[in-house]
This record gives sequence, structure tokens and C-alpha cells, in this order.
Amino acid sequence: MKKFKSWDKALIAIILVLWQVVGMIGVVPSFMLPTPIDVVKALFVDWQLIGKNTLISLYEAFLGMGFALMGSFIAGVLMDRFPSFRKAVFPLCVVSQTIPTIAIAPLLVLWFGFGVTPKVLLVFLTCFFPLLVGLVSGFESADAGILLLYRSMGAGYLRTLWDVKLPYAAESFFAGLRISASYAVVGAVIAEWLGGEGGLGVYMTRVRKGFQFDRMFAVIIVISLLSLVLVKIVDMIRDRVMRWR
Amino acid sequence: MVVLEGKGLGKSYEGEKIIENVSLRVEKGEMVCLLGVSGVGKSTLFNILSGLEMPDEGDVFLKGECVTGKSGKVGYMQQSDLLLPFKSVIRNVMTPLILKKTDKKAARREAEAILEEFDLGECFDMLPRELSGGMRQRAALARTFLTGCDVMLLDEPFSALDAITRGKMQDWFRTVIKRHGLSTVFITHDIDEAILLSDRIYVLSGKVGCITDEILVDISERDSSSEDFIRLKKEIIEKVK
Ligand SMILES: Nc1ncnc2c1ncn2[C@@H]1O[C@H](COP(=O)(O)OP(=O)(O)OP(=O)(O)O)[C@@H](O)[C@H]1O
Ligand SMILES: [Mg+2]
Repeated sequence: MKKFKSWDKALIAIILVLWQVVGMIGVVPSFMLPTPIDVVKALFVDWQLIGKNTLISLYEAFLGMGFALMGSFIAGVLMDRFPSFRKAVFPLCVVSQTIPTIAIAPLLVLWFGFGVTPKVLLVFLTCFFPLLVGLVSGFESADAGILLLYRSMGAGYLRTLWDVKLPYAAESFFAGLRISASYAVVGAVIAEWLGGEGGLGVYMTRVRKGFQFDRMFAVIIVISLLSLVLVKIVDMIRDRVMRWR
Repeated sequence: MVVLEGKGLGKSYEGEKIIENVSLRVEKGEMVCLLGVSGVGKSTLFNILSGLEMPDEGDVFLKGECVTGKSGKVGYMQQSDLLLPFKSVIRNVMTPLILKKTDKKAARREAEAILEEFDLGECFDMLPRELSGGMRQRAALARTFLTGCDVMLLDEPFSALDAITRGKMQDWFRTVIKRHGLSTVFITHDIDEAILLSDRIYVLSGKVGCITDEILVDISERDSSSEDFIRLKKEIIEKVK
């Protein structure tokens, strides 16, 4: 992602100030559009509750992403190892990316109830396909000559996977991981909207019913920040792993 | 002693015959050249000799043992340098040793020694893209050396280089190969290069590639302006036509 330049920051500052002024002179009633200061206040007042629910959502997001990482890795390697399997399944995987997984959230709740399972599952589904597609298309991008070279040196499959295919797949894999990271928290929150015991989504539905718009905004900010931080972490890991870039 | 031998090799792709009834041998310590125009099937023949491809007919023998379709028995340097772009030069060069489960430290020491010998002592930890074409080629050759195989197949080892670098590399190359006592086959379509470097030349030609000539290079001095050289060159041009 491009770094914010200083004028980007200035623009954000201007918007925040305008927003504050509009709120203060009462153009929009404050219960509908709380001012930035109200939002920050809400964040501080309710931080314990928000923090607790953040942890729950993060837990679901991480669990879902973790399973998606493992699953995509296993499926990706199998597809690479058995080309006929890949030919049968991979086109479906690419197409399935166009289905908004969020649309099936209600179904998951019907099937798996209001516990953690449907949340983790939704995060898993949102993350799994971008990761898998990134990995498999990355494997395919490995230099054919180098693969032959490895064979001519008598290297086995696992060695070639580790030395050649994974590094070649790193670029598109991390691209997939960024997408996953940016959707993981949102995925968990959306599943929580449909009911559950805790998490930012449950918190949101609760404050919505009480028309506490300031808290609503506070949560939206928390979710955005979490996603941003996750993406940043992915970028940091990528830069560490792909030092040759 | 014959170290590598191909007997009656033939190969078709999609029903089209590429090479047919190709037999050739390499003696210990010999530098053999495979000369032929583009597309005649030289790389195909190398893929068979290295065991990467199964021939449709014929067999490959390494020191008398049949190794048809078995890879990892001979060193093979393909047409481009094929250095892994994300590995440092030294780790690229170490690869064949690591594949043979050599201890990492020992492998590194061996790779360092050969890189020093190949005048790449400054480049251990550089990435391949930071090297010039000639340096990359030498690194790829160093890697092929470390396969430890007695026979090396080199597919157009100098084709990527400019004329001046190429000239320097050729002199150096023959010296190094002879010093290590290696048996090699190399491909070229450059007749000068064939005469300069090899002890024996196979000419591969025809619509379906086969060995049409075998020429012994026994000239006293390897100098492209010497009389011997020019005479031999004329002779080969006649045969390749
Ligand atoms: N895997 C393959 N599948 C189908 N055809 C192939 C394959 N490999 C080589 N060929 C064909 O075999 C013929 C010989 O190819 P080869 O690469 O052996 O030629 P070459 O003598 O090495 O040429 P050059 O000097 O240009 O490298 C070509 O017509 C090529 O199209
Ligand atoms: Mg070729």
C-alpha cells in the first residue's frame, strides 16, 4: 500500500474539523451524526466493553485465518502435486471468488447456531480462496527451466517445493494474504451481526438498538484500524520473508 | 575409457521425429562438442542424456551402467544460467551439495573455494541480478561443477555473452575443465568455438537430426588465425552444409 503523504493527512484533518463544526452548529442532530470528539469520548467511556468484544472478534478472525492458511496450504500443495486434481478443482476455486461469502453468512448461522463456529467458518471461507488462488497461481509461475534444473540435480518434490515453488509463489501468496487480512475482521463482525454471545458485531447490534451512534462510530473505527494493522503486519512479514525483493 | 555413451537414441514429439539413431560417446577427460543449427534437436538430445526425458528408442550408459531416464547422474547446465533470483550467489552454487545432504558449513566452504577460483570471490552474498552476464554464467558453471558428476553437459555455455567476454571465457573455460579432469559435452552453433574448445566434434544435422559427422580436432595451437585452424574450419563448413 502507498504511504500516506503529508497532504493526505492534511485532508483527513480538514474533513475531521469540518465534521466537528457541522456537528457543533447543529446541521445534523448529534444523535444521528456524532462529532469526532463524541466518538473519541465514547471510545474512552466504553473502552472496557469494546476491548473485550474486540478480543472476541480478533480471536475468531485469527482462528479463521489460521485454518484458512493451513487449509489453503494443504490444498495448494495437493493441487500442485496432482495436476489432474488441480485441473478439476482450480477453475471452480477461481470462480468461487466472485461469490460474496458474506451472502452465505445467514446460512452458516442456520446450520451451526450462534456459537463461535459460524463466525470462524465465515472468516475461513472469506480467506481461504484468495490464499489458495494466490498460492496455486504462484506455484504455476515457477520458472520451468529452474524446475528442470532441480530435476536434473536429482532433487525430490519437497526440496523443489521449498527451494523453488514457494519462493516463486511468495508474491501472489502475500497478495492473497493481504486481501484475507483486510476481510478477516469484517467477516467475523458480519457473522456476529446475525447473533452470538460476544464480539464487535454483537456489540454493534446492541448499541444500534439503543441508538448510541457515537459508540457505533467508535466500533467502526476500531474495525477499520484492526484491518489496517493486520494488513500492515502482513506487509511486514512479507518484507522479512521476501528479502530478495 | 568411455564415460558417457548414447546408443541409437531417437525421440519424437507429437508424432514428429526430432532425432533418430543418434549414437555418441565421451571418453574420460575429453571435451566433446555437439555442433548443429538451431532447432535440429541438440537440447532434446541433452535432455535425454541427462535423464530428464525418456528416449523413444535407444539407451544411455554412464560408465557402462544403463541410466536411461534417470536424472541426477550427470551435471547439466541449460541454455540460460537459471540462477534462482531470490538466492544469493553462494547459496545458488551450494545447491547441488545441499541436495546431496552435504553438511552446510562444508558445502559453503566448497562453494567459496570454487567461486574464488572462478573469480567471483567478491560476490558471495550478492543476488544474481547484481551480476553481469559473464559472471552469472560462471556462477552457473560453478554450480554445475559442484554436482560432482564426472560428466557435464553444457548447453551453449557462452551464447548469452558478448563477443569480447565470450573470448575471455572460452580460454579460461578450457583451462579450468582440463585442470579438473572433467569429461564434457557442450553445444554450440559457432564453428570457431567448436574448434577452439573441443577435442572432438559431432555434427548433428538433417531434417530429422542424426550424427552426420565426427571430426577429431588435433591442431597444435588453438588460435583462430593459425593455418591448421582455418583448414579445419573450411572442412567443417563443407560438412555442415
Ligand atoms: N517438449 C517439447 N514438446 C514438443 N516439441 C519440442 C519439445 N522440445 C523440443 N521440441 C521441438 O524439437 C525441436 C528441436 O528442439 P531443440 O530445443 O532440441 O533444438 P536445438 O537444436 O537445441 O535448437 P537451439 O539451437 O535453437 O537451442 C524443435 O522443433 C522443437 O520445437
Ligand atoms: Mg537448444
